[in-house]
Amino acid sequence: MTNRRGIVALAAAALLVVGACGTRVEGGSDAGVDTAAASGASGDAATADGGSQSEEGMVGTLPTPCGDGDASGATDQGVTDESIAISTIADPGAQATPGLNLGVHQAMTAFVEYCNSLGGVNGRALDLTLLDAALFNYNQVVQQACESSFAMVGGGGALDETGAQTMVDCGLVDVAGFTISPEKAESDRVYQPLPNATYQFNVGAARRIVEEHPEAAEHAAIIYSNLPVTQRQADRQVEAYEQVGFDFVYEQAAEIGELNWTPIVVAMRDAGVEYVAMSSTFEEFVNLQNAMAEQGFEPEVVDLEANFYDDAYPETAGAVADGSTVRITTAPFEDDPQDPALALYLDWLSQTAGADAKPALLGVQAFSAGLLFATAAKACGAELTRDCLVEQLDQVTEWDGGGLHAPADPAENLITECFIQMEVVDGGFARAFPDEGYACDPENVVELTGDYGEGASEDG
Amino acid sequence: MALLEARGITVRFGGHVAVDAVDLEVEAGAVTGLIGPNGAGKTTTFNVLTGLQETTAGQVLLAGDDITRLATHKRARRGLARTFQKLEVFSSLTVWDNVLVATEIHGSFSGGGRRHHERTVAAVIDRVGLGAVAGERVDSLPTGQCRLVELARALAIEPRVLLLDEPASGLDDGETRQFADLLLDLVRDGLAILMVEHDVPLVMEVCEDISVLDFGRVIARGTPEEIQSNQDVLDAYLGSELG
Amino acid sequence: MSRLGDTGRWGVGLALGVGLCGYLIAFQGGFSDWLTFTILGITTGAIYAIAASGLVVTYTTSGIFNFAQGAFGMLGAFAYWQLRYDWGWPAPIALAAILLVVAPLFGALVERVIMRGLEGVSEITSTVVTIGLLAMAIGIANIVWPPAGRRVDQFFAGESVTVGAINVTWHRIVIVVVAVAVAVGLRFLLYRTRSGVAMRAVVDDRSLSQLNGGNPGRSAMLSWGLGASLAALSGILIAPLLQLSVLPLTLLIVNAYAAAMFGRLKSLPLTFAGGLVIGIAENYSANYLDLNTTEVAGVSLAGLQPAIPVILLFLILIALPSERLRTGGVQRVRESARVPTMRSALLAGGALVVVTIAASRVMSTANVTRLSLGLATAVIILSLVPLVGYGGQISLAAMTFAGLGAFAMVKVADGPGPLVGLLAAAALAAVVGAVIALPALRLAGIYLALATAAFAVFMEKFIFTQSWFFGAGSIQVPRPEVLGLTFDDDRSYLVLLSVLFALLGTGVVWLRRGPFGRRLSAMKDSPAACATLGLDLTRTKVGVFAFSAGIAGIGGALFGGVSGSVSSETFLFAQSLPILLMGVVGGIALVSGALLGGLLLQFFSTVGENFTLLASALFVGPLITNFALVAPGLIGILLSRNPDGLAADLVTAVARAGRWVREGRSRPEQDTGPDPLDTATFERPLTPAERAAVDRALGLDPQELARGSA
Repeated sequence: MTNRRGIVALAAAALLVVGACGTRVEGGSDAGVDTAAASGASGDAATADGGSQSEEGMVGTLPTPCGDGDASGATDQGVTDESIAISTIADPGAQATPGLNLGVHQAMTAFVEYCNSLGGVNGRALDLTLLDAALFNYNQVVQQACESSFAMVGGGGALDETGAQTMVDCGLVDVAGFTISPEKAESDRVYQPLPNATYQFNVGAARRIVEEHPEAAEHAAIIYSNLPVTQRQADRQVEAYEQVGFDFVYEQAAEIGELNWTPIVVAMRDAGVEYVAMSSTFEEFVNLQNAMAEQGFEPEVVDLEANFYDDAYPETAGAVADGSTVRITTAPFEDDPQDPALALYLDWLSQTAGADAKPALLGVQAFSAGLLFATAAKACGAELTRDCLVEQLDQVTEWDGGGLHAPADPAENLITECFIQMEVVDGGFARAFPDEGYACDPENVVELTGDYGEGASEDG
Repeated sequence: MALLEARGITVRFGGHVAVDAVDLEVEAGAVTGLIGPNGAGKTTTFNVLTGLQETTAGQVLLAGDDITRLATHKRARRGLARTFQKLEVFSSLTVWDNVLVATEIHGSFSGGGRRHHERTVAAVIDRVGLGAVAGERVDSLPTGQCRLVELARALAIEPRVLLLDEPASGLDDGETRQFADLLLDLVRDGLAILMVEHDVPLVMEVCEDISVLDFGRVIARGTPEEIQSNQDVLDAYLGSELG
Repeated sequence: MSRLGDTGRWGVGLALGVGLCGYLIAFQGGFSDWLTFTILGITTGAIYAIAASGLVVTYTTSGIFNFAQGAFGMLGAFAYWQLRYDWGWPAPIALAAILLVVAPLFGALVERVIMRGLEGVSEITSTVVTIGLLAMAIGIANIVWPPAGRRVDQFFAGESVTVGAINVTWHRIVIVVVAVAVAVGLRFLLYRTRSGVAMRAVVDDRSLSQLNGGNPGRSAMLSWGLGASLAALSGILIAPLLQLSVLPLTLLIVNAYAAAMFGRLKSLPLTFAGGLVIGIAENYSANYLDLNTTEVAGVSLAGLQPAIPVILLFLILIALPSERLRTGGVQRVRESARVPTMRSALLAGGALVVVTIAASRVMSTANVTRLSLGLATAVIILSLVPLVGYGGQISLAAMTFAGLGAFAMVKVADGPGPLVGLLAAAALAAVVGAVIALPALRLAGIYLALATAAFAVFMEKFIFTQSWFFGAGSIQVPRPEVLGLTFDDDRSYLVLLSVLFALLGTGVVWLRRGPFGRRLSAMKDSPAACATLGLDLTRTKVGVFAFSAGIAGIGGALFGGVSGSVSSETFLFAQSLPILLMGVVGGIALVSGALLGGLLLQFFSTVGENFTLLASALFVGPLITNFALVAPGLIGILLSRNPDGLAADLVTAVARAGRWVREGRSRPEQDTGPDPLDTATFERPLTPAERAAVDRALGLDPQELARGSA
């Protein structure tokens, strides 16, 4: 019953910028699971073609943190002899955007199933509560989590700034799957497997573009929906890209539901633009691309954030999207053979969610968050307290979820130096660069100096 | 000098002339009648007089002052009150409250405290004969009594001129009798009344001066006797049923 | 402006238009640019024209402004996708199926099942029912077509025509052609054909049209069928340009309201012209002005661009020739609110506080928050009780005033303190309310509603997006402090909310029982009569608007205080719709109705939440999870059964129960019952009581009749 309300949600969700390269947003489509490459979606416990199966006791390259043990004692809220209560927040009940990030809930359900099948964490089973913030109730569900959970794991909310301080105040720990606002991304007591640092930006793709398409980099355009979250994202990208040689000759805000993109296309054409980026939902961008095609405007480079890594985008766009590139930092679903950790996630996802399984980039991150949590919790042994958890998490300076994604630094909240460029091809995605693995380089990370907000703090 | 005067008022709706150069004079202390067939323009004339309808031409004068461009509520404050042909009672209020609203509105520019208002309301209700149903919600009353409510309301603002649009329709014989007496009583107190009515006997009985409207034009004016014998009037309106 | 006649108005408008174009051509880029932008404007404007014409048709033929028109269009677009792309039907067949079969049937069904039951209800209720339809349509779309990637191609995809520097696709040209055809065709249909005239007659006087041999039921179904078909046409044409997203498709029509108003909700050619004007205005400002980066005295003008259609709407509404006060006779509306006594109001308020104190002791934190939100929402809904419930004025801007209140609270609380902040919230909102009411005063009914909608959308797009208003997205709203007492603890805040609601509610009842309340009620029943009694309607309207806005402002500040932060999204125009809807569902003329509405609104989302897990087990999964969306719609529609709202039902039931308890048996109602003269109708044989009443009214003596032959 709301217009921008839901659209903001979509946009915000679209901009779940994690790892500074954005993330894949789950809008309810069969995201990213190309039927040819997928194993999990078929509901078969057997793995995909080519033996991309994790070895026994491993999740990809990570020794599994889940297993039996004899931990006991009610050492903190939510912890008992037998179980650890954790909760995962997402927004599938959002009235305006139903099913938003359902993949996150599903991924955590799959993770908990997996973990408990091995004995849980030190023998304590994970007791999962799925919380639905439905966009506007984020603060309330955080309060709910405060009441009974030991920790929040794997989730996130499109309007997470509304509950960031509440969580800190009630002493929870959040091993988040993703964050959106700076309040949350820079918050105390929040750890992410792929951090989304507000004051860093991954310019890997930018540097490559400067090399391969120098003309395009000097005639760059960025369009963004005029909502605070997309505006902020665009500002950050501009600041970051200009540090590595970009020159933005055209920056334009656009309304959600804009009917007439022609003026923008004409303006870009007149300005000699050869690089186009957009900070918004993919539906909006499809309209822009259609308008570009109508006017015969074909920029050299179209460079999109990870929220476009969703099959719904090429499905909706059709041929106009061909050649557009999307930058991601998680293991691609299309790889053949798939990363073993990814295959494990897909396996367990199809086992627990069956035909409704929604593989999603954020689901991958959620699964990784689950592993990160379990790893830290395991190290605490029987004396599982929030303080201990924090201590352990503060020591994880390199984390890649066993191969689920590029390595990053959860403890210091530093983004990954790696990236992959995917390209839209034939109604789906394919690798554009590099041919395999990730392209990593410390120069891929730049620091931002603009004012983009602050995190919730324990003194706050 | 007439208390309320209309001089040459004309109202055009597009190409259709609803009221055509109508002159009227309403004297204080008398009931003036305005009769004519349906669609003759009587209610439109009323609307012009009270300011609910703009004139294409002509003037309206109240006690010699030109009020043609004056807003409706300002005319009311100068002592011009009316009732409506299609009931405009406050149906969700009781009879008492209907009259009270009028008194309070009047009181907001002429003073008077709550006690005074209540006395006024009681007196007016009594006068029109609605004492028995004062506490009833108007939407539960039959049409005839609703008309009396409108009358009471109009009286509550202490008007000098009272415009009544078909006030007796819906009243039975006995009620009409009482109503006639009330009208005569009111004019004895100095009120000027202009009445539109289809109840011919009533009109002939109480009116001193009658204007006849047909197709927007005044076709005749005079005393009841003159009107009853006027051939044009007989042709247009009264027919030969007068007796 | 009101002194000019129609021709004068047109003359001025035309002169301005020509002058503007001349200026643009001469000083701003030349003819070719101007032509390009004008053509772009026409293609966009044609879209608005088609969308608006469906609105106008429905209004002209049913007297109801269908807020769900855009939603019907959205459903039509999705249904077309289903046939054409999912099931692979050929385009002409799919089009024919939707436009000639499915959509008309849907519209006729809506009329038969829902709108017909609205005979005799107030404009408010019928408006709100269409809002309920809107909610329900969105819910249905989400259930039947869950979010996924769905492609729709433009018609004649790939073909375009080059005009100057741009290509205009055939699809857009088709839209312009269709818009013209629709305008011309509808004008012909409605004013030159028999069925068309019959359809229009139904609006003016239903029983009269029946007497004249018409079949109003059939005409009404035809009207709604036609309206739905037009909506579907509009949706199908627009979908390729917006993609199949539920909300953008549904809400596009808000921009078309101005076009419908341009045609005064009756002239189709003018509606078409109005659509063009909006489209052209949008394109001119997009191309000739650089509002995006302009700032005037610290106010960013970026938000002005998207607000253009509603600015036009507001201007058009104000420029409309003043409707003289209508004397349509008293509308015997079916709503009939009883006014509570001061004693019962105080008792109810006290009971509320006591119950809340008890609840605050035992409820979980999450439920405390929910109840707090419910009470804060109830305060916002309460603001509509004097305005809509007592005064009969429709306002679609409740949340906008709430937003102003929250803003004032934030700005003032720091310095003078949060209690003053609360007063400032009321004051700021009240002042803005009065300012808005002034130009909108001559408007009534749906025109006033649209003016408030225009204001709400304007605020949403232009003011709320300013960085100094809601910061970078959200602001922290403090809680009031009273006499040194702080309310940081959520449970104590909950109790404070109940106290404030009780106080405000009692105040509203006190108002109703006093002279001002009587006047409001009178104004609602008959503004014409009020004027003839000497009432300055202006003062009264401005007064009640300001009062209502003030309460909404307080509600907004309190609402913000619950979670401590609010964002610009909290106070969107669309948020005012469920507020009004639930207010009417609860009972818009009752304080208890406001309370019920607020609680229902907050707890609907709970139902959805709590049943998600249960629902995935049951087959009815999607229905339950979307319950939150469908339910308000359903309930809004059920208003046709009882327009007084649920609270009224409850009150009657409680009163009856109380009486039964006291007297040990049930008694018949004390009312005298409806006047037989009013219930007498041609649609069925008269009851003896009605016959007697009719005889009496005709002056026929029953005994004489009995003696006579007939």
